[in-house]
Amino acid sequence: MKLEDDIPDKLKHLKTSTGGFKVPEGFFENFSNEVWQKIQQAQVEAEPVSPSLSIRLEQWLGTWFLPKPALALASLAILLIAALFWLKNPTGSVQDQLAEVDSTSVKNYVLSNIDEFDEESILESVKEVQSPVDMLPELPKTEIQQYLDDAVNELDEELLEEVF
Amino acid sequence: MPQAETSDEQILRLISRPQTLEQGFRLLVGMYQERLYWQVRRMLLDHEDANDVLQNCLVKVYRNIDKFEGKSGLYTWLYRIACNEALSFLEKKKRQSSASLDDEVSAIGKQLKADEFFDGDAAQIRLQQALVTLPEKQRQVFNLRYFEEMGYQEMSTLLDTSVGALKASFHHAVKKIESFLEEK
Repeated sequence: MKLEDDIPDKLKHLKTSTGGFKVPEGFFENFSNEVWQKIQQAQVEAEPVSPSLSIRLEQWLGTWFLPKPALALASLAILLIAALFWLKNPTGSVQDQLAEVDSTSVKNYVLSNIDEFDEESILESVKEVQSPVDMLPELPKTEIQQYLDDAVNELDEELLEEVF
Repeated sequence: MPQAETSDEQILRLISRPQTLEQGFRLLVGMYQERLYWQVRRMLLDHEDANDVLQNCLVKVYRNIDKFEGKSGLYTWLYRIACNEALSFLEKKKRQSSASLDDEVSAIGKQLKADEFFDGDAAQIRLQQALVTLPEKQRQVFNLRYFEEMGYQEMSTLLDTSVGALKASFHHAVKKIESFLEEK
């Protein structure tokens, strides 16, 4: 369909190619330059400025010293150190550790803490210890008899009277 | 239009290579700038507004040229982007203003009379005032048919609307404009 068939005469005479609008002189000749300039400007603005290595390092470290990450980091460091220490010095059984302690230290410890032990515990431990008699070397009966006779002879008579 | 299709292909091929990107894009702008400008200018009326909107539109085109799939012609794609940009501009302007339609019509008359880039007579100012009263779609169809003398088939592709609907829109637009011109 041709335009003339579509438009009433009243509007036909108003028609011009631009409808009365104009553009500044040389507008279209320079338009692509302006657009290209704007594209480049937009690209520069869109590209983030890359900070220097020292600034990036500082920023990275800074994030670790914020309260929460710092706390987490410290906890992790403690756990790691404890784990390393444990791996290097593994703890054995209690008996193994006691075996390493010398008898003098044990004696000193027991004497200084004697009040801490109750009587039952002491008696129980005494039972386990060999009696002094058991510890005597086996002697001939004649020697024992001789020893006892000498001892009796050495006793003071007055003292014996007092006793009996 | 085989020549135009070949040109579009050449432009797109140049744009696809980094070393010829600028050359290709400048060709695209040079080829379609006037058609696009007049479309936008008829919608916005003011030269500075049209210039800004079209430049922004072409920056968007540059950024998104890789998304052009070739399903429609290059001009159709450009035209739609330009129209969307212009409509967004108009909507933003309307939101900022609380003027009634009568106030708007009156303001356009004053604006065109004072515009150094408008040299139309009183009748042409009246025509622009009449166009402001039309719904956006009718105004768009009228501009394409009346000023660009675009055929309905091409317009149908461009606006993704049936030929019948376009004819009806144009007919209604003409009637409203006649009525407006007779009224005052």
